[in-house]
Order: sequence, then structure tokens, then C-alpha cells
Amino acid sequence: MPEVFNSSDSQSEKSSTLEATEELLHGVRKKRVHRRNEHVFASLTPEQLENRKNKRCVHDYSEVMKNESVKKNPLNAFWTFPEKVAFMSQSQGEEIILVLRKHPITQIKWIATAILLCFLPMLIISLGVFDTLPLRYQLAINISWYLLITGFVVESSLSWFFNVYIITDERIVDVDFLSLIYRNISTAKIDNIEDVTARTGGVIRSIFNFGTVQVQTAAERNEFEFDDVPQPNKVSKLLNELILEEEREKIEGRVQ
Amino acid sequence: MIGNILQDPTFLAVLKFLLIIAAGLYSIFAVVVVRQIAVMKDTLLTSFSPVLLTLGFLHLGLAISVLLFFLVSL
Repeated sequence: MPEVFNSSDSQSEKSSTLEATEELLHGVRKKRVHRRNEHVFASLTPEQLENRKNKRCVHDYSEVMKNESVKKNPLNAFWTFPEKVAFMSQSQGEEIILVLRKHPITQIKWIATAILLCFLPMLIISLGVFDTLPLRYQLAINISWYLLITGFVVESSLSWFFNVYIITDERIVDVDFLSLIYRNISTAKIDNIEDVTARTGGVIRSIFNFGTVQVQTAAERNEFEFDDVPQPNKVSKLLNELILEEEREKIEGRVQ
Repeated sequence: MIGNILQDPTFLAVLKFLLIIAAGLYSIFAVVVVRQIAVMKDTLLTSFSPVLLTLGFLHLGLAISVLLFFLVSL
């Protein structure tokens, strides 16, 4: 009797291959994160190291981070498992999971303004207003104008780069770079988080998938807002997974 | 009329003074930028921070060069 082709067999074979591949990828990611943390482990005391070993890797419990890899670009607005990144007040063994910045599309306003301002001297020259002014003064005015634009670009880009939200396996950190002189750093422990809300709305936000994540906490500062961050639903899901893991750690007595 | 004002020595002296003051203030701003990058580098250390600090110093160099240029050429 000829052997009949069984599609269910083939499907199960396919799914098992897929599972094996996923497991392999998961293992590779875990190894990569472990390798990245080796220098952290080296600096720990034996007691801290024991606690750390009891701690589960974020890949083990987070569905969101399972599919994310180590990103190397420091200008990333959704920077997962950042390498060579540390922040003030980071405790030993604390792992940075995610660094968030405002979505690059939100920076279009100042970039467009700077580009338009670059063309303004050309318009004034074409009107011939300063034609009778000595040439060296014309040059000086032009240089001053472009210097002013440079200052505007420097301040805006620094403000974007240093305004970050950091999610570690222990807490959330909000670094506000308000202006060149003022900065504000707020932190809240994961187990102090009470409520997480992701808000998106409007055409641009929907197209580019960014929005605000609002975190209510029982800490001194009771509200954290991650403004205009990419993939707000993923961020909110990750925070919920971290809260659950913290609770699990408490129940299982794995608390540091 | 405007042409005469633009060539008036008093007007040019005032303009020179204003341009030098502006360049001086910009140099102070550039120093603040370098200082702020250094402070933020301690707050959030990334692989890009040294590059940013170098850019800050280049910006300061540009600001000082412009100030010197104004002082010498105007």
C-alpha cells in the first residue's frame, strides 16, 4: 500500500523545527547578554554574585524582550540591551534593559526650523538691503547668523540625546535635561509601580507608532511620563512583566 | 538714505561692538555646553559620550575662532 502523505505530520515537523530554531536563537541572545554582563559579575562580592545568580535573566520571563536583540547604535530611540551604558546611581549588578528617547520624528520641527533659517540670509542678500555695508561687516553678520543657528541646533540635539528614560531590572529612571543649566533625575523602584498606561493618538503617532507611557508610582514622585517614546505598547507590556517578575521574586524569596 | 547710515563710522563702530559682544556671549555659551556635556557624561555614560565631548570642544574652538576673527578683522 502506498504511503499517504500526511500534512499534519509535516506541519508538526515544521513547528518542531521552528521551536528548535527559536530555542537556539533564545540561547544565543541569552549568551550575548551574559557575555555583556561578565564585567558586572566580576565586580560583585560573593554574596551579591549568589543573589545575582538567583535572579532570572530578562529573556526568561519577558515576552517583549525575547524577540529583541542587543542594539549598538547609541542614537537609537528604542535602545534595547544597550552596551557600554551606565548611569549615575546605578547599583552593582543592575542590568539596563531599555533606554528610551523621544521618537526622532518629534525632532522634525527644530530641524526644519534650522534648515529654513539657513536660507534667510540668501533672501536678505537678494533684497539688497545690506549692499552698501562694507564687505567684512557683511561677512561678520553672516557668520554671526550661522553661529546662532549652530547654537540652536546644538542645544536642541543635546536636549534630545540626554533626555532619556531608562528601564532596568530594578527600577525606572527619568533623566530630564531641561535646558543647558537645569537637569532632573527621578527614579522609582519597579515594585513601587502601581499603574502603567500607554497613550497613542493622532495620525502621526499612529503612523510612526509612538506615544506616551504614563507610570503611576507609590514613590515620592508619583507620576512618570515617558513622552513620545517609540512602541509605547511594548514599553507598557515590559513594565507589567517586570512588575510580575518582582512579585514572583518576593514570593520565591529571591529578593536581593 | 539707508546706504548712508550703513557707511556711517559711528554706526559701524556700534555694529562692531555688538558683533564682538555677541561672539563673546556665544563663546560663554560654548563653554557652558562643554561643561554640560561633561556633567551629563557622568549622569549617563554611553559609547557616544566621548565623541559628544570632542564635538563640544570643537564647537568651543569654533566660537573662540569667530571671536578672534571679529576682534582682528573688524
